[in-house]
Amino acid sequence: MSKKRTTNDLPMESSSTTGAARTDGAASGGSSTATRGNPARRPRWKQPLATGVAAALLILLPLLLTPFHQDLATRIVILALLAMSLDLIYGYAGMISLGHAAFFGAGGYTVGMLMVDGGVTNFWVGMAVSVLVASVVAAIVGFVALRTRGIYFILVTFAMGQMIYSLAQQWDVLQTSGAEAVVGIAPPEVSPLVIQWTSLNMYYFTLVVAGVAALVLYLLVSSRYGLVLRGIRENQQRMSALGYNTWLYQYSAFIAAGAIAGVAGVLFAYYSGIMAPANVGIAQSGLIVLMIIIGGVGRLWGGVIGAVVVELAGFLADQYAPDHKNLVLGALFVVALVVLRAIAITGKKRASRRRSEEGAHVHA
Amino acid sequence: MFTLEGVSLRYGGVRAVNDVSLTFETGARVALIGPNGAGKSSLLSLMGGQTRSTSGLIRLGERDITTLGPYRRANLGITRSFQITNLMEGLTAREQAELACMTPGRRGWVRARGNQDSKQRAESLLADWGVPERTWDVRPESLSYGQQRSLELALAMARSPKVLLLDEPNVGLTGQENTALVRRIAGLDPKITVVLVAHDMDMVFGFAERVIVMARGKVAVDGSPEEVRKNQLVADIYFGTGGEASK
Repeated sequence: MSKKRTTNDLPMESSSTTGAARTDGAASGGSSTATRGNPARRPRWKQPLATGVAAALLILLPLLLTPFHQDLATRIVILALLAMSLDLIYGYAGMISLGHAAFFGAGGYTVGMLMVDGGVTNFWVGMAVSVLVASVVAAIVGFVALRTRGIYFILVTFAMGQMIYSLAQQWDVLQTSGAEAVVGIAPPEVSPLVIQWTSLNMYYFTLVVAGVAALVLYLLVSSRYGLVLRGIRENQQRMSALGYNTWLYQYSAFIAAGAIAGVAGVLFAYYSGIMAPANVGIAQSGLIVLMIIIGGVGRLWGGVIGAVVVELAGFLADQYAPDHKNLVLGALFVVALVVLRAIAITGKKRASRRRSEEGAHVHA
Repeated sequence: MFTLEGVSLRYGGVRAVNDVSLTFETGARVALIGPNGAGKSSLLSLMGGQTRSTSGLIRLGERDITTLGPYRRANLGITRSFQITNLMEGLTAREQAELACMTPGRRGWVRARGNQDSKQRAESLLADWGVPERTWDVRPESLSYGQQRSLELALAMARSPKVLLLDEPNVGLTGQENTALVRRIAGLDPKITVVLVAHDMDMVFGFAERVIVMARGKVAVDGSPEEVRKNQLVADIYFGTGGEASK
């Protein structure tokens, strides 16, 4: 052992020993070790296959549903996008925000008011302005919140989210409709297309827009930008010592996540026809966090799974125990936190035991 | 040339670094020693920009970098390793090396241009620094301690620094790993200024052309290894009678 170890740790006489270390690696079957230890080296066909199956389900399944259930599917798609946008900052950049619904609300309220009070029915205009507003709100919240870290960051996002929530509650003074909610939002004109707004078409419209937004998120997290974010999540001090402006990366991710949440908010306004303060508040923000914890933090499709689970649970609770919906969701939250955390920990232990065996293998 | 002029660092009433003035010539090999709490790591953090000095001036060449944060200094060529192995636990060695090889611009932001080959550069960095290829795609926790230190040094060296600050790089290494590390440091590009904090005297005297002894936040002795070795004050400070020696 000691001999090999020397070879590994002594390749300071550059070329010759490096060569030795490499041969050494090949000799002890290093590549298979690496394959087992590394999630990035899974068989290449698995991910495209899973994506294909998921896409087929998303496209075909609603054809079999009643309009009532198609609406539920639309809602799930929207919330999945919202959860994925939070995962960009939570799972990838390591910032837990409890005010994320505020950007969702900013998008939804803006498009609703543009339509109801301003008569703007064009989708492109409504979407552009609303996403801009959501980004600006995120830029303001993020600027303040990023002066803090850890628990203080969570509290600042929570407090600012609640400020926006109470703003939404008092919005009636500025509004012609005179209610705290924006009501009477209609599906948009998506020029040059002419869409018959059935439940099914609303679903497909939502799916396409959310799909584009999700693709943007995917490109972000799988690029160098995403790698830098993950580095910052793991070790901010180290990343700044490597020359990265960690603040700028976190801030930009916060704004990007806010913008995508704004897209989800716009879709939600079109879909439900109403934006209410409840869509903006801590309850909504908490549900998004719940979704990505259930579905898995730090992988975008986790948000989709979480949205399916949470929304289905909410839907079933509505059906069978309408008076106890929050009780059901609360219980789900507790179970998710306790059980999934336990699984996560034991899973990690198992993985690290496996890794340490591999480690022993590596050092042997 | 790296210059500190009257640099101090105060935490509340405590002066962790007290009015230190030092000049490091380009290519100098300097060891920073002293008892625990003497201010060695604090001084290194002031140089690397992890901590901002409460007074004094810090210069790289002619440029005043006193108020520049760590990423700005890193992009000027001041890089460091940390006392506790400070890797990115959730990332593979390959990913970490790629992060170290990408070159953020002045604003600390990576652009696509000029970074297309960062993957290849990462691989040659890992190979050059003796991180075994079969560990490139596993997380750092499954590397041996020595390999982790190698990786950390590799990250610090990825962008050919001008000034390399090493905080106790040999802590926890086996004898062989230590020897290897000393050889590796000795083999660095002679144009790189290396400042190394160490407790291990063999390492210090094996490496340094100049030894700075710190005590209570001040420079107590500054000279060649020979001078420092013979210095009675150093012996006193170092072997436990620090209180009397610094009076």
